[in-house]
Amino acid sequence: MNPGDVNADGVNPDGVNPDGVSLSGMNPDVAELGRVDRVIGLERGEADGVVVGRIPVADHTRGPGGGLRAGVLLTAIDAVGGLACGLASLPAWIVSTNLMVRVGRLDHTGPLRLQATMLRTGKAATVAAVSVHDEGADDEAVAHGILTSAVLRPAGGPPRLDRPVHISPPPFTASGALEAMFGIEPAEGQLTVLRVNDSIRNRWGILHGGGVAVLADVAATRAVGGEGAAADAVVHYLQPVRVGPVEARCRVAGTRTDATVVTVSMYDRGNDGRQVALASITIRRGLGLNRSR
Amino acid sequence: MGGPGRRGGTVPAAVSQPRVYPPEHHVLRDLGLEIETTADHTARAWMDVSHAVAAPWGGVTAGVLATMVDAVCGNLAVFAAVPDRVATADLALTVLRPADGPQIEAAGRVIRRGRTTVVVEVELSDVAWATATFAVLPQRAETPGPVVGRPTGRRALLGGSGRPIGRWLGDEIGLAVTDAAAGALSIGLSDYVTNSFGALQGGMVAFVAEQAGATAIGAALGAPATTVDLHIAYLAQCRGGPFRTAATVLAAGDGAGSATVRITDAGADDRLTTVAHVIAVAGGAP
Repeated sequence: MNPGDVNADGVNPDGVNPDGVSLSGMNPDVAELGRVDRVIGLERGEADGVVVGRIPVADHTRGPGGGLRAGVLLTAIDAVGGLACGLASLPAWIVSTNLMVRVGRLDHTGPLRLQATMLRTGKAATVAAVSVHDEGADDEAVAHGILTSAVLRPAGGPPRLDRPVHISPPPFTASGALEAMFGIEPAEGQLTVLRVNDSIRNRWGILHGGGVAVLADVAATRAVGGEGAAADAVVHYLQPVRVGPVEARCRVAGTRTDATVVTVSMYDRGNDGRQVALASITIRRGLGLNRSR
Repeated sequence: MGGPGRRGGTVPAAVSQPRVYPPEHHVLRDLGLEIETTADHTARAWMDVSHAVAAPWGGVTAGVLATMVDAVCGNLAVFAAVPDRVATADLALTVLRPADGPQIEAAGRVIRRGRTTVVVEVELSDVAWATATFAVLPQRAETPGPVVGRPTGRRALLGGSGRPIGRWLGDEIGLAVTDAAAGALSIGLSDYVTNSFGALQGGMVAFVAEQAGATAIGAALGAPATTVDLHIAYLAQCRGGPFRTAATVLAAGDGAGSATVRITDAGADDRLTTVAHVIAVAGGAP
């Protein structure tokens, strides 16, 4: 293993990453929250009463459209929106149930700034909107997402967080493709699998929602032969992924002049093969790839 | 969230209701929706294509497809959630090609009945794919859930036959455009468009949202635009009215655009009830 790699050992529960660097002296709960952030380079926290995030467009997170690939964008929206929903639900916490993104541009300069706005804070569910702006391109709005979460009261309580929350993992030195970091690899035929590693589990040992999103992105793109770039997406989280590997089965639902729509059904092979997620990914092609203002 | 409990999509014979729903003069009857729900948590539905529900380039406008999806999903969710109630949380629809046949057929199935949510998937005869999520509201003594029978497994008109709609559906329900570039539309509340709880019916919320988004995108593109992708987050019931929309165009160019639409309830202190995302294309078929 090279320094900085995230593999099956991932980030240790005590907040020490594989190359032995402590996550900024964070308390373990914050360090756990920041596991996936580190893989994608996300920094997030509270500022002026709202939750914001900032993410660069790095080589390993860049998609075919030239900007942040959809799966990573979904992961960032899940993380920023999830933190907002969680803080709004204290002393309970939340788990993602639905995640949606609509993309205006796919060719980002970066860094991208994400800002969450709470739309609904209920006893059973919370809804947050997340706007995404490209700070490197005159702060242009490039995407918009919505995260719906179920409110729960986890054993052991919510994460212990110092307010205002700031999660800023040390820079990640990527030494491989995003797929490898998320444990994603092609399987036979149209199947794509994700082997769950600790770096993409959350504090309850469940696969981070971003892992499911990146898997859906990679699998759908593969299903259309790598032509085009994943853009708009909806992900339904049906069951938590506890074991893995997760198997993604794709079906081309239809093709428009500008895009192909792929549905991705995901199953936890290690947990009786039960369905854990369903996604719809729109793969844009050619001139329709970007929609400039 | 959308209306809890009984929904417009519920086959009337299966549900005990305090009053007939939909009422005799109601958009769901006039759309001529037929639904067949079976005990294996699947359903099929049919709807005739007419000029009243046509999109600018032909086919059926996405808001009407969403109304059909809402009816099918709501029907399945109610049966799946028994004895609890359900409320629509969100609906996503992707149009694949124009519905050019005389009739649309939908096939829906429950893919998840969890403790807190029901998720339903619907395919519309190769023209669209959709999902909807419903929050499960636990049954309480003070708010008993609906009395729901077993699925009939029988094809039945939703609420019984209505009358053919002779003009564009937007005009029929009183939808007015006040500022196209801003996606500003308004609609009042009438019995014709309510759900069983007296709020704006979920499918009509979807229709209003997608019309607002397509109108704003069309103005930005300089040509009529047709919605091909729609996502709706239902935050609160539209109980008061009039309901007003405002759209923010996220991007527009190359014959396509995307917009965010917010629906507020002027009769409830401009409460935000709905947030939607719309992708629309100008010109020919998607």
